Amino acid sequence: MAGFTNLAPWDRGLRVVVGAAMLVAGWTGLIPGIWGIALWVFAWVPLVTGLFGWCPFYALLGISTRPQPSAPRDR
Amino acid sequence: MAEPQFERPREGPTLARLKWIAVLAAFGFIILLEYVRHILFPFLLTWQGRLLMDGSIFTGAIFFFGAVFHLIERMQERLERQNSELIGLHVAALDVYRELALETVLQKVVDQARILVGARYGALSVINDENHIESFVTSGISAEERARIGPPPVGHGLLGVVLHHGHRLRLPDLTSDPHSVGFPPNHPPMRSLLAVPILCSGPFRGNLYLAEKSGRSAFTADDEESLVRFATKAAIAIDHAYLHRRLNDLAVSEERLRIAHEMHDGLAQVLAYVNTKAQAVRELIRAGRPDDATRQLDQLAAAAREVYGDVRESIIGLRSAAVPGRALAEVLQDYAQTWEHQNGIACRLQCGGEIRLDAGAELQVTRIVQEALANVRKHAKAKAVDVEIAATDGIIRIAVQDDGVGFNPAEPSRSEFPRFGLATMRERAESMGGWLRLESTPGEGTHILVEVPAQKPKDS
Repeated sequence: MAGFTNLAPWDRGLRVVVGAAMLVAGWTGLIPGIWGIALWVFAWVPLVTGLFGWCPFYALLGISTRPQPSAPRDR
Repeated sequence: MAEPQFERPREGPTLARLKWIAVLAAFGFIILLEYVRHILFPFLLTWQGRLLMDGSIFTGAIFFFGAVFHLIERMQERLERQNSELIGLHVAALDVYRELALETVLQKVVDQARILVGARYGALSVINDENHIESFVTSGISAEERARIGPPPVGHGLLGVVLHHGHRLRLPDLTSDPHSVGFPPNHPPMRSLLAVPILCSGPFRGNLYLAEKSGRSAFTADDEESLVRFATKAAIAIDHAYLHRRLNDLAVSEERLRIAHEMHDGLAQVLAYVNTKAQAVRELIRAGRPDDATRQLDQLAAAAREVYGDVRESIIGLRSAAVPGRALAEVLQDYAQTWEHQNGIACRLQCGGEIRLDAGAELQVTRIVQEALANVRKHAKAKAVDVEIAATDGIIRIAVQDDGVGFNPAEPSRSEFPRFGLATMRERAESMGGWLRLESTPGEGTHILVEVPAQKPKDS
């Protein structure tokens, strides 16, 4: 699993919190109208990426907030 | 032996699955989209709904392509790592294959194995027929450190696991293993361990041990696979070194046999001849026939001179071929000059082309030329002799032509005691996969022609 993830623990935590907040806001009708629906629809993006520890945007742009292994194979 | 088969790697299941997912996902996504928009949520047909839809499609596409590229990157990383390992393996194997001396090969094997997988310490145990460690070749520690550790291990602890069972061993922390016992006081501290057996087809039995992975806490499964592949190549190099040693031993043994043969055929026969003649002289003196006795003594003196010449020639021949690393042309040139100086017969030597022969074959060719020149001295009454060695089309041709009295090869030997020189020369040529032809006519000199196959060039 270590080779799959590209999110640091803090990044994952932040995404889960933000995703959950978006979901709650959209679900409970805290923000009405189309914006509420949009929040509810897009809340799964940070939530899922945070839970899996892998972000497709980061993967496409070659970004990783996860700490890299200490040393590569030496030859 | 069947040619090794190299299979082209097949497309992995991941890539094949990915192609199907790409096609099915596109169709499935369009169907789902139209279902949601027209049946479930008609408000998605408004401009706000379209915006929401476009956002969802964009996010979905990012997820999909992100996953695809992520997989491709992982495959690429794996290929690059494997490529790097193969290059490392190739370099290590080349370094080992260059050597033929067994001790050097063993040292190179352990040095290269250590470099290949990035280990701080390396060792190679050589196991004898009683399943005990006979010698222990180390790498990564100085001679002083090695001396402080004391005698080589006996294989009761962890070494014995690979030693007795022939299993691979990969441990992140060998100190926590129950087999980890018997470390001497000055042994360097070690945690990670990787050990594989070296499986040779020859008599060698041994194991490779690597300890303390550099930059990481433990050896990986890739390290283990790399080391196993290297051990296979090392086994071939060790087998070659064993064969080379055996060939050298055989060459020495053959040369001893040849010298013994020559002593028996030459010296012993002449001594027997001397004994017979001495008895004859005694009888002739007793019988009061001094003239006959004198004639017998003259024959005796001639035989002694001939043997003296043979012995001197053999000594020069052994000396000239005994210097390792000298080119064949150089050895023969020296011999021809000495021979000419000693016998007063002009000897012209010509060497042409790149004469490519292994050490054993070079010695055989040298002996053939020496024997041919010895025959010229003893029998030909020649003023000059031409020796020509040429390499063409993978064949080495050796021609010895004298301007002496010649003889009829069909007639029996002219010598009073048996001679085996020609037969020995023929045997030498045939032992190298070649042949010998002798042409001679009374009054027209003698021509000896030998052809032997040249050593095949090594691929570099």
